[in-house]
Amino acid sequence: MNERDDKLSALMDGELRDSDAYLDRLTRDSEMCATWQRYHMARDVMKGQLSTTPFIDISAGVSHALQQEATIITPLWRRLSPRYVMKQTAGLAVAAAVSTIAVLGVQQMQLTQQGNTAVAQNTVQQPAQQLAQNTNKIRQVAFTTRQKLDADVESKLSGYLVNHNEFSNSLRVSGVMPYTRIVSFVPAPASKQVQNDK
Amino acid sequence: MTNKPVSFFLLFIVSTSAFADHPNDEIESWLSRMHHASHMLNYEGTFVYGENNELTSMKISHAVYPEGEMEHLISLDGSGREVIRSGNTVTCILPDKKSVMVEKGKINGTFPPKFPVSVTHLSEFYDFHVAQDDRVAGRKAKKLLIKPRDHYRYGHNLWVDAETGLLLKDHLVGEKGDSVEQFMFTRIEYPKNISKEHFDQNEATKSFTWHHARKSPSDTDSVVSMNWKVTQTPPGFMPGMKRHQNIPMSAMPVEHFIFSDGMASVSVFVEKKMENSKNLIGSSMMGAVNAYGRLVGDYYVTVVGEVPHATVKMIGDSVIQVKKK
Repeated sequence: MNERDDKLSALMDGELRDSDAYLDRLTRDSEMCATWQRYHMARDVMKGQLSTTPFIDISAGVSHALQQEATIITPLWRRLSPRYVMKQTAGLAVAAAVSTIAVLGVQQMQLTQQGNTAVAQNTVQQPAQQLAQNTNKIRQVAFTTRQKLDADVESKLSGYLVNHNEFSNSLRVSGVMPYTRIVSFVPAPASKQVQNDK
Repeated sequence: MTNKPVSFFLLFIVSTSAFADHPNDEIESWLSRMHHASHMLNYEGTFVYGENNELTSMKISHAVYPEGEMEHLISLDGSGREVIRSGNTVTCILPDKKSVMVEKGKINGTFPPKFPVSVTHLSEFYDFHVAQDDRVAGRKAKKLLIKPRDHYRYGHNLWVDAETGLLLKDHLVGEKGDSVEQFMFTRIEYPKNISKEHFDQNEATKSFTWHHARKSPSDTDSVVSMNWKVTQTPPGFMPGMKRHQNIPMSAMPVEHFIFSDGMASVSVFVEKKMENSKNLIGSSMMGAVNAYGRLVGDYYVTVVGEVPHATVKMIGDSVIQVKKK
């Protein structure tokens, strides 16, 4: 076993100290990525946990697709808050894409003042096979959080939006129609109102 | 023989009018009618509004009195949020939060507001087409298609009342042709008179917390000195008004910049971070409006606009402080 393989297995066992930098390397090196996947498969076989579904290398597929088409995953993201976010991950390997998703999930969480880095950690430490499953999980996080925008933050945004509507002079922004958004906005759970306008 | 040039000429007319690539004049006249109809007509109707797989039904009344325009929008679902616009005062009633926000809009706005669009200018960034006639809410409608030429703006499919010019149905279209936001009237009437009682507030609002905007230090002042600067915008987004203003939920005046490509607008707000003040960090959406916020030193920078995420993010990330207070 060379040093690289040593480090890979330490990473798998969660014992690698500088794991972030190493993960970063892993996402850029396709050969290393392949080794990483073989290790996981081997371990799963040894533990008798290999799933009955045939092994599909999602990471290579997505990586390739990202190189071909920058916005290939956009339809998935349409259901999430920051639209077109996947453009930023264009050309990166899938693990990098996954960690971007996780970071966004966390950013969403921060809106409700309850940041949770567990999602990010889980995600990068999972083998590629479980990507789809994780993505589902993260989608749920981002989705539920979107509805839980802090009441104060939402009031502030509404205030900004009213001012935006009133002072911008473009075609569709006329009349009361823009206010449909405030009226229809999914209400956040009731919280203490702070009156700041003294 | 003598018929030949005539029929050729007729064919020429038919083909140019039917297949004209840039029917800009026709589009401009419809957009202008649409704009004026929304401000100058009395109308009452019910419409459905949809975004993010959610549907809401709403009722709208709009009337013009000698003293100005009045509008009332009320959600027929959920907690029944309402917006009443009377002249330049906008009142948002949020029963779910037991709060009312009162804002002042432009003071010296002309009536009807000036039609802001030049289709010739816009055609640098959008493609325009007139589609086949359609029907919405039982009325004959003209369908207009507006497609963006890049991913920094949304497309619009508009259905305009062929008789009155009122916008009856609107699909905001995203990059992949998906619907970002839509609304459609299911019932529309144009009464001669609408009584003012339609625009009264509900008794229950008296017990709510009221947030009033104070008078702003400067309104629509184009030479106002700004401490912040936006250094990058997508092509075609030109700087518009900038001002210092008071906002009900903000302790200090905020700096407000507006950018527009003529079709869509983006606002940038810069506000000092106060103790206990919370603001958006990251991204959020309200229908087709994307919002993006970041903290720069002690200041919150928030960008909102009826544009894709890429646009608010580009603008938000380019904001820099040019002058220390």
